[in-house]
Amino acid sequence: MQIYLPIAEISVNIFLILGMGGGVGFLSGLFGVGGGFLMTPLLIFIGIPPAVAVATEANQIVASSVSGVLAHWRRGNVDLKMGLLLLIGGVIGSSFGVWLFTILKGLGQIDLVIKLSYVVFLGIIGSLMLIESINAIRASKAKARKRSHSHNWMHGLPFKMRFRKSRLYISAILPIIIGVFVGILSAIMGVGGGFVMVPAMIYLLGMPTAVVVGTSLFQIIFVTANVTVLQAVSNYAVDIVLALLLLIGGVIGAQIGARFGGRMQGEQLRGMLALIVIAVCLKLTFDLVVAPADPYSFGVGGH
Amino acid sequence: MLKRTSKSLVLFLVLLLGGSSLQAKDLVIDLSAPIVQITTAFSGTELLLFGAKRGDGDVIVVVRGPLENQTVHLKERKFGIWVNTENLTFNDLPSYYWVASNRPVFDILPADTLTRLQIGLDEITIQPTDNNANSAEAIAFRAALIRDKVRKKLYSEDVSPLLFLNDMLFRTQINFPANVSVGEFAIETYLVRDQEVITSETTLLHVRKFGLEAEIYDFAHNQSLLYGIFAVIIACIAGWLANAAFRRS
Repeated sequence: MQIYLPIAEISVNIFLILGMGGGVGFLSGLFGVGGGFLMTPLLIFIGIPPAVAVATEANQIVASSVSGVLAHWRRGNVDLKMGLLLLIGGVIGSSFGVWLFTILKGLGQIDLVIKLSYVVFLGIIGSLMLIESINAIRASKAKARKRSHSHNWMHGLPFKMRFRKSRLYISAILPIIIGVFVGILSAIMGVGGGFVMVPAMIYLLGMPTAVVVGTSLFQIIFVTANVTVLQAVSNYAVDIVLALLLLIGGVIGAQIGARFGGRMQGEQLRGMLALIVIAVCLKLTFDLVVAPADPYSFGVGGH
Repeated sequence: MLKRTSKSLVLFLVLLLGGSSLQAKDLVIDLSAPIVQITTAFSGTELLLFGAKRGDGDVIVVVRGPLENQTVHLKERKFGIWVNTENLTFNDLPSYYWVASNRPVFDILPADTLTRLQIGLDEITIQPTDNNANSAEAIAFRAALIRDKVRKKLYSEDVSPLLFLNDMLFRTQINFPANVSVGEFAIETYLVRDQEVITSETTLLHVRKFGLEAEIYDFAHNQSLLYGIFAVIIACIAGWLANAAFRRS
């Protein structure tokens, strides 16, 4: 059954979109990630214009983050103070990111920048995760070494604040910088940015793992909401029909995924996720390196 | 569609037999529908064009979509990856182009007339913004643009068949793909005798978004801030509903 998307202005198979939402939702439920980094490239592969894919995926992430954060909120796993600082940075970063996106779109380079960003970040994160999970599987049942964070240059920064829930006393500048960085990624790549923010919060800030996911989801809601509104205003690129279809598939997929996830070991899950991340990265690299079927590409120019 | 087609065809023939329209004109045409509506279920459509002529002669039909501007980017290998390097913008080209005739157009009209009337893919005026339209580069960009349009079924590479039902009546079928532009389409019909255009008729066809599609599109373009906020609110409600449903099960 075909459905015509009003903003993407193409006709797509409704079951393909529901299936993609379900598939990515399954993985995100299984691995506990947002899935934006998989969905945006998939949307581009099936012919959705990259600008629409990025903007619409931001809109979908608002929904999946709201649904995720409510569960964490009830368990008290959201550090509101930390979340607000990340959010200040996120709003600055994502506003700058959408501005950059609009300029690059005008220059005809947005597709390249989106794809290159994916290759670089998926490559780095995928490799790190793979190495870490291989080490973890090897070292499993050895002693669980929990290294409390050491004192370094970061603790010399001014504007120190106490974060009771995270049990930290660090400079407010750090979460703001992380927020700015993730906000830019969110605007350009159409992702929540959890895959960058979560490691940064654990390894750079030294936050306890329990509050990391809830706090990052809290921040992601507002940053992706900001991206959605800004993309709607400056690029008219948010397709509500596409977002809703992805959402329906995603919700169902995430429930099934979460049930499967409970039966598997953490290290194996992380290893599998790493392989998926690296596969997407390789596919995008391949497309950039191999000669295209047609060296010419087309866009509606000059409004 | 078929029901409506046959109904208007009957009406058309009644008019024809009454002789009211052909007394004034040598050529009359009509469409199976004057408006193409793009709804949620739209996946392309076809229209029937039918007409009647008086006397001998060949018939050529040309359909042109609303004018648009197109930028063509050329990719080149830089540092091992393929990057957009040069680009050229073409102004005011038809977003859709389609030709039908009862026999090859080259046999019906001389080359200079085909050029003047812009009949055939090579004859469409596609002018780049820059002045050097005849440089080898611009010609390559233009060819790439036409190739892309043909691939998307927006330009027809071949002349489509036009069927004579008898000495007087003819019909042909126009195909519109799902990605067709909205706006006003001009349909020109030429009656040709002895290498010369005897008369021509222009009909307009409106392609527009209809229903929910149109409302969403207009909302997104005319009140983009409100639309963005609306999209976020919908997402929040959906997320909350999903969480509530998940908790219950």
